[in-house]
Amino acid sequence: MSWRDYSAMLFDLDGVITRTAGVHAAAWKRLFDEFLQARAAESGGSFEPFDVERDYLTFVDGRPRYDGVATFLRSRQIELDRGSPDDPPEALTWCGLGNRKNGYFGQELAAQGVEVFADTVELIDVLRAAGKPLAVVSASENCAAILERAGLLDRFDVRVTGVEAARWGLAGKPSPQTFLKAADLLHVRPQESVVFEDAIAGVEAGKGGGFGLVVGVDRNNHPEPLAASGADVVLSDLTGFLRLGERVPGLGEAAHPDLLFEGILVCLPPASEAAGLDEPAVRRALGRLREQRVELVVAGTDPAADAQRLIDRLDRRGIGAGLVLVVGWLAHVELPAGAARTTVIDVSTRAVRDPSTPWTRWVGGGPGRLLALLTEQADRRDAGLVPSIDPDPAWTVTIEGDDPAERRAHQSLLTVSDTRFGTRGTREEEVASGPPRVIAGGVFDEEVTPPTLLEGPSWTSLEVLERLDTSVDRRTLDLRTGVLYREQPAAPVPLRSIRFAAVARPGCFALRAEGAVEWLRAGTALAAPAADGTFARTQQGHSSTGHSRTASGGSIAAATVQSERSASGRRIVERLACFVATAEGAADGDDALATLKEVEHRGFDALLAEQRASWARRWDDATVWIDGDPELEVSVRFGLFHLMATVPVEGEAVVGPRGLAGPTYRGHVFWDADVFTLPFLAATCPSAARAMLEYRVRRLGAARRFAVARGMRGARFPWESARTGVDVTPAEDRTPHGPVIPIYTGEHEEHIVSDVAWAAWQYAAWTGDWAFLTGPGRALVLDTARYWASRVRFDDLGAHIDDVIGPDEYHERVDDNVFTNVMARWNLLRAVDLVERTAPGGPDDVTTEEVASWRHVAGSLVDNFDPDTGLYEQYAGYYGLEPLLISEVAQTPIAADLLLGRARISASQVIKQPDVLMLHHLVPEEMPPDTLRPNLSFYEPRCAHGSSLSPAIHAGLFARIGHPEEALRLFRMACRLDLDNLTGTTAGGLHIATFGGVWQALVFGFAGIRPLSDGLVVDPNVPAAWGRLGLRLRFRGHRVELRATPDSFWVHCDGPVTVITNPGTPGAVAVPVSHRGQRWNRHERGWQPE
Amino acid sequence: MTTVLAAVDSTDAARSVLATTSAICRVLHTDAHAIHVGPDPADAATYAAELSIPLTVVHGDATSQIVAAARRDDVELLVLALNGLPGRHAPGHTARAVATALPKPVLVVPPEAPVRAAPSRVLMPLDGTQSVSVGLRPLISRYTAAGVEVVVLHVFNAKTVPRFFDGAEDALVWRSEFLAKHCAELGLRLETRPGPTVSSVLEVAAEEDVDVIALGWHQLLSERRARVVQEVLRAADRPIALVPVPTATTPS
Repeated sequence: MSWRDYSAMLFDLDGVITRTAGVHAAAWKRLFDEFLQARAAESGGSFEPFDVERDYLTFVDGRPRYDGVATFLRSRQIELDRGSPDDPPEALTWCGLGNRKNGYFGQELAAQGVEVFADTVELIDVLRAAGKPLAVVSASENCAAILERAGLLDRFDVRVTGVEAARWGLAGKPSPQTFLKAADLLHVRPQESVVFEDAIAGVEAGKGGGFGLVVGVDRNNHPEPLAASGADVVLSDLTGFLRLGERVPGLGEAAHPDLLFEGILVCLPPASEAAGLDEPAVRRALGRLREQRVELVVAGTDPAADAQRLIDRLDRRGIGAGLVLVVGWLAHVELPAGAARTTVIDVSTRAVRDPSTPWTRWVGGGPGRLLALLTEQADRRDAGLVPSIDPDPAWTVTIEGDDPAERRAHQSLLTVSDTRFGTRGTREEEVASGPPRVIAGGVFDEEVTPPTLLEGPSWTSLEVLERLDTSVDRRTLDLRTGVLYREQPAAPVPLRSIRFAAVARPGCFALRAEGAVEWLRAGTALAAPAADGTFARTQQGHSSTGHSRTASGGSIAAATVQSERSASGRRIVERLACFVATAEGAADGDDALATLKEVEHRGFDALLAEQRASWARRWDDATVWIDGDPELEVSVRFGLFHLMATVPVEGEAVVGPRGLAGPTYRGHVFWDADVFTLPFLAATCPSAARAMLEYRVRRLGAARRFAVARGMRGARFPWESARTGVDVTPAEDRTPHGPVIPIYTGEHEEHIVSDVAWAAWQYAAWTGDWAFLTGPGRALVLDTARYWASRVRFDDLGAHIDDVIGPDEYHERVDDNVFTNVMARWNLLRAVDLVERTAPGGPDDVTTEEVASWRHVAGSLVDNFDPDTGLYEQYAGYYGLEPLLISEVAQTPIAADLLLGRARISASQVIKQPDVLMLHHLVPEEMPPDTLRPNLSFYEPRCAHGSSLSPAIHAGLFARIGHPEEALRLFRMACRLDLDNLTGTTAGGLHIATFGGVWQALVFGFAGIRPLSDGLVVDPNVPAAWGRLGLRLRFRGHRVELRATPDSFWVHCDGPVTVITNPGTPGAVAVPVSHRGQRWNRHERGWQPE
Repeated sequence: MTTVLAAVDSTDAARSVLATTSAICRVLHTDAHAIHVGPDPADAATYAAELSIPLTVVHGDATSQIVAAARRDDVELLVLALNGLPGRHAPGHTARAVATALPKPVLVVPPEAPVRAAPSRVLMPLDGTQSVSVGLRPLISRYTAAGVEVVVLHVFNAKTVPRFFDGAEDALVWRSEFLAKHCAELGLRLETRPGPTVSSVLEVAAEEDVDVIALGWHQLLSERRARVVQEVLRAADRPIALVPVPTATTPS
């Protein structure tokens, strides 16, 4: 039971509320020593002084004063008359001596004052605030005076003190009469009340009075005597009382957990409490749980180690500590810090000390409770109820309630994807509306121009016959496992559902839901998409198949199977869905059915276990920790989760700007994929990065034809592409204000050409897969260089690239855009490198003359650099524009083009996003040393950050130059872009490339990591506010873990990796690091290995 | 049945106020009633009789009498002229005082506004705050239910413009989300314009030839408040509905 279940609380005074025992003891000692000395002098006997430790606690403490005199004197075989309470202090009677002691007590009290126990006062205040009636029950006649002096007199509704006891003729403790009288005065029954006592006599009184709970208050670290006297629980800190039997999230009535635990550590009782333990029954329950694949451990001699091992083992399976139950007799169990998120339930009937951890819940109940808990877990698993997730705030994003204004944005946030297919987080009972619920990357409806993502059949609908109050709905996306969990209070049972997209089996989805038999039905498993196109559905028993297709383009086929059953008063619906898709032609529904049969054979629980383990492996190479900023940490993880869930690991990856969470930008491929998304995957999941590059490799033919059509050579990748690789950029579009405007990006935003080459190089730099660059990826570098060589115009000043758009799209059709030119130069030089690594000739027909021409063009390209200022002019003529700073217009970020209009913005120096600075981000080795700072100082005040890609890049750059405040401001903005719907467009899908930018800011900026041919540069710039930044990635086939603080960092690798520090300085050092790890400390001259 | 109350004086403005009232009542299917404060109601009575609008004549302070009459539960809209009789107050004083005091929509008819047969299109500028959009929502529902086209206008200024705008396709999402957030009714048309607000409101009102401009406001007409309301009242050539809305919140 919880404290809330009791009606009233009765407190002893001395040792519980106030520390007057010392005052009393001093007064008693003065009395008895004075008395005993005089008696020894009279009788000629020896003087044995009053022993405060022994005599006070044994004979006096807790007893009425005159009884205390009598009890002590009898222990010394001294007989005196009782006398009368009116006896003067000089009288040698029990009452006379008692009265003398009272005088001494007053003197001592005046001298020492009253000390109160802060924990008790805190408890009293909580209880009063909760409206619980309180009484103080003390043998002391000075009780009121003491409480008044302590300022606590008005805290109690009833006082039964020595005064009242004398008045009403109540026997003192250990008689229960004073406690019973107090309960009577409070109008509560003893069994509904709690007694707090520090004295053995008081505990006996409480127990004897039949009070509901007797709390022994142990102020001297001697709990055993109190427990032996009958205390139900012994506490040294009374605030612990508030935690006793308290329900924790997921624990239902009678402390039966609602959570379905995946790991259980059982601590069996000591022999003294083992009576009643039905060992065969417990063994049977444990056997059932084992069969249900629950990790079970019966604690041995070191329960803490057992707990840690269990947690670690589950962690490797993708199961967090929040799904671990530690249950049993825990009074002497010290759990490790790693168990802080476990549910710890102490069932011992007598807790003889405080709970072993602050999170331990004492529920009592003994062997019967243990068996009930274990059996209940096994029963719930047998019933096939909705499994639980670990509600760890570091790994979950939760949407509470239902805000219609944010409903579509929330659907995007709660998307579950398996790298090929995405299903938006639409509620099961919501009618089809809004953006497509199911889409497949790279599968387009090509009947429309430009091609648009094809919507697949929807598989998540359920019939909920009762209107539920969605304002109390709670949906949690578990980033650790890629599972969306929903719980909505409803009558008579809550609605719960769990769904996931099986990342190990792209195309396979699973859903389980439970609710009341009266209002939950499975309904139709496959629903037609809301969009145009043809949809056909067939039903075969419990299975159904459906097709979405158009006359031109791709198609999506799905097969589902579902079941309904009733258990524990609930209806449980389980549905498995398998999707197949083709980018061109008809998807084969038989393939979907065949996969479905295989998945059905494995079953939901096995799929979930596989899902958890699969995500655990993905996170092993990609986890990020940000100590000291939990909101930022989970925000980063949210972005990384969706990045990983969006990109397939084999075949080709067609990654649109909004991923698999929404249709905006039609799923087309932009530079976002190559420059923003790919590096994260190259460094954490190389096969996914390789799949992204495969998309480009397979469209080289289209890119070459595009170049030829423009009178150029080589490969000209389009600004927007879909299935075929031809340019699908719209020629015109509507502005928000309505007028149709021409779209120039398709024709003029040509830096995409070198962006593709950069992505290929970046992949090789992280993975060491140079075979790709010399093999299928070779043309991505050479043919793009060839394009630039044919694209430039020469004059007396050098080579120029005219009429382009750089990343800053506020300034269209400009000449010699620095980003375009420098990236082209970089592209040409890497092509030269690549040919020199191999040899001229070969399938590319690269001649020595052509290589020489590339070198010449690269050396001739103008870059608008002024060595005097260290500044790059963004393009020819940029300095002549209106020198408008964004601060004169509005606070950033701001869509300055919408605010000022296209004409004004293009005539001003305000830019949309980093352009020159994007070079410092992507190709820092191409930029002269020390040019980052002046260019950041110049362009940041001109940058509106009107692109969602912008803040993360500047954040990383600010981190590199040691400006943590500005870096953090921008970094936080990028991290929260979708979670806070800062763009107002999250409804249309997630900003996948921004998530990639966040990772780059973290890795390139805050961690200062860069892959070079001879090793991994590490140069952390960790803000003091973070405490510690940790991350994992892969470099050349090895896992690398970095833990960095502002003043030191530590690198661990699972294989040999060379770490380079202080690059470009005289203090540059390359240190081989292996599995033993290496630590560096910050010194005046840079990082020094330890 | 609800009522549209017309407050008239002895000027020619009474004619357009009553005509406007009559037209609105036809569209909204409400009763019309008129009130005249003070002596000499002859012309107003004549105009009202021509339109079969019952007229009540009362005496006393014009503002307090009109507000008292408009507070009646059945009155859903008060119509009055922007400029009444020349007197000791500045032009428009009564209209402003009434609109400030009355917790109901007030339709202010400019003196030069041509009388429109029946309102068929209403412009509702929304600044992106929930208070304004929530405050205007009943009026939007009322008009759309009556078949009147509601054109929503959002003017971009430094506080109301989107913070990010990657490309043209974002406009589609942003517009549908804006309507979903700020207009409960489906099928409304959203227009956006770069600022300044007043000129954009007047431009769109003219372009769309709207019959009424409906402005949400907080009923504060001190010098630095309700600048848009004050300027639109000063410059508009068509009726302006001033709709009280709750305290402002930040743009969403």
